[in-house]
Amino acid sequence: MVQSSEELLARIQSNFEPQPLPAGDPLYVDCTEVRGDVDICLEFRRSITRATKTQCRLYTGHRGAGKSTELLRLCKKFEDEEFFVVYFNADDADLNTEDTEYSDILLACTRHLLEELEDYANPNPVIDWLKSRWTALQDLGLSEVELDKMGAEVSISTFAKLTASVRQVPNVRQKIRQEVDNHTPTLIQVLNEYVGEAREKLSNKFKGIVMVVDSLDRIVPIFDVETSRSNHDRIFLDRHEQLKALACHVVYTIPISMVQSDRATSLFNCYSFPNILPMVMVKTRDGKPYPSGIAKMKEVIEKRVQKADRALSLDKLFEESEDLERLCSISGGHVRDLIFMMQEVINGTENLPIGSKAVNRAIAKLRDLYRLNVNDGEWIFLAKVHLCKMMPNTNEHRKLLLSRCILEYKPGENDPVWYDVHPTILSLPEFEEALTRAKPKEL
Amino acid sequence: MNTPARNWRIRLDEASEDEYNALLRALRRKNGFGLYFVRCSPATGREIFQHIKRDLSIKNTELLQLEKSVDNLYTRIQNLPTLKTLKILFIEGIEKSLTDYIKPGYGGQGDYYKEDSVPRVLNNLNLQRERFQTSFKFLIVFLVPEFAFKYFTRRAPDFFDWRLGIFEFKEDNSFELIPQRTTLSGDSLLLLERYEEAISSYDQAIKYKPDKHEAWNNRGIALDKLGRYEEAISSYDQAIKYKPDLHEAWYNRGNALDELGRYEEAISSYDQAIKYKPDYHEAWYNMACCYALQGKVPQVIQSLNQAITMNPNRYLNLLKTDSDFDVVRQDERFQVFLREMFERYPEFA
Repeated sequence: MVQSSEELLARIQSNFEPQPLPAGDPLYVDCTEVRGDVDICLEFRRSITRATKTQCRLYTGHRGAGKSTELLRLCKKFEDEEFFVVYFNADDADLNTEDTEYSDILLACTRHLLEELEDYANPNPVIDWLKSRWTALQDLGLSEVELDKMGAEVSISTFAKLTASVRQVPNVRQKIRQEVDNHTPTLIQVLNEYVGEAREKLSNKFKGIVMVVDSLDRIVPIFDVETSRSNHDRIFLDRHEQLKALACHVVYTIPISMVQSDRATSLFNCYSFPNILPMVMVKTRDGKPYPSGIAKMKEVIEKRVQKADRALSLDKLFEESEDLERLCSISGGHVRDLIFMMQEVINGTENLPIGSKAVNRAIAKLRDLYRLNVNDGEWIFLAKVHLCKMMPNTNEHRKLLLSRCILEYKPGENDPVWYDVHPTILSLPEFEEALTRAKPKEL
Repeated sequence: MNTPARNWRIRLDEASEDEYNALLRALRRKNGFGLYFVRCSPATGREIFQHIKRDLSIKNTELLQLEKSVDNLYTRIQNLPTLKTLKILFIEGIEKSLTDYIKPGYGGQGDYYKEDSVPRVLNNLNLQRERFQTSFKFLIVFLVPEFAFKYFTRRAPDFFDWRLGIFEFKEDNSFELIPQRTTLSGDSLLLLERYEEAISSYDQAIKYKPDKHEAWNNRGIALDKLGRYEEAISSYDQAIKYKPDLHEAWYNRGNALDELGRYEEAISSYDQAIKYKPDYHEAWYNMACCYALQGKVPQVIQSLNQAITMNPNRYLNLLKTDSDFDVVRQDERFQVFLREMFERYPEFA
């Protein structure tokens, strides 16, 4: 049958998925030049391939900006350069508690290293370590914990099962944690022995082992009023020694708000400078459209549209070319927001071409989301950030950075970063009102 | 394109009607995993579920009603008995898992969305999104009241970030009774296998714009599906009248004639299709079928050769079981031809 508009729309829509792209995906658009010229692949590879000792690097950026996509590319490049790569996405099997602590991350790393390096080293020292913890816990009288399976046949998979099941028993969790915490140095020690052995075995084929821990930025921030600190502080700042202590190269993804915290300087000192993936710069610091950034965003759309129909050009897809421009600029250079808007545009479109009504609907949806994320007292902060393009280092501002109400831009490798509010916010009445309050009064 | 009125117990205003159509389009077009949020009251939510269930009857749609607080939604869904056949799952009542967390604390607004705690169900969802995507091959639609929606945006932002659509139904401005009609296009109705409605939709379209050749063609398809081949053929004739090089219409016309056993006419229709699209292998193959049914071996070989060269995998496989060729299967020339083909493409033999 003649390809109906409906079928084509469904196919176009299916190319606008919010998930990260695997390495080598033809839909990938290289935005390096409009993201402050920072190519994390290049930089990490340089630092790790040239390193004489193990490297620990931090990586961050706004949620949905393309971090995982870049990390997956990085892993591929490392593999091409003959590194043994252990990539994992910290998910609920690793961090399934509402109060994630450092020890959860360490146990997650342990589990994944055990699974991936199983064929190259003897896991017994690590298993033994775990067994002795269990004995100690038994002595504490924690009979809820299933210990029957801890026989000689203990395998790596039961390690995973046991750590998981233990963490699901809330009143035991704290005691387990304490026990693990007290013995962190010995765990790191046996784990490093294990990794060292694997590295040795792999050395004829691989230059080294790189572990990439993605999604640690997904730990929901929980703020402790008494200490005025968050769980993010406790994990990434207080435990930097341990996070760095593993005997392989490690890349951790951390929440973007961490880079702004009071102790950012010490964070830098501890880890060397974190790599930040900024927004695609769709406008300049003084608010003028930035054509090459807009062009990149158009390319993101174009590739995904043309995967569905190679002959379909963007000026045929949109009734008004101005609508396409608007979508690109109001995304603020945030790729997932652009993708979400395209989804909504197509949801609002019965027949091609896409008209202004559908575009307006999509923009309104996104704008409403940002409005919902701002509390009453926060509009004034946003207004000030917009006026001075700077971000004061406070908890309130960090929260707004984390929820993408404030976005970070970087024009070139050696240029300073600047901040602005998400473009959808600019036309909200609450913001406009705050702006008049924030502006210095004319004499 | 009038379809029977939907009987909303809660009347929808025009904006909500638009939202409903957008939701319907989203759920219709997407297959596999997808996350959607519908901001509405529980009562409206159930109405929406009922209407989607009816309007999208080709997709198996269910409603999961959470009666009380849950910690782990993933396992709750995984235990559904109909997991394998499910296409769309509506979830109502997630807010019951959030109410315990509405209490004084740090940050947030009023007693809501506190930053010194996180509802366990949301924390789990935030970490479970990959698991949802890999395990669940159906669409998940959360029916959420306003505060629960805000909880998602603030306290499960990573999970929420994978949504494919947000739809909003407000009730306070829905008193006015407006004429109920759907705005589904003929093409959509065709895909939804609602052929009668599709035909009347195309009829309307053609009334206003008689030279709409795509409408004529697709109307023909709908008629075909209902077995009304004669009518289908005259619909294709109209399409071709306005756009003589519409190769799909020629091809479809050939198929309809084939169904009626009018093989000679079918063949000349396929000929036209091929004239405008020489690599139209489906037309080549169907033409071969028509020749085979007439026992014309040399012509069968000639057209089949074209089809197979363009798509050996598909046609060599199809050929093995297609009863259209039973008449010529024992013919020596045909067997020689087949042997040649399998020698040329040994991987499909």
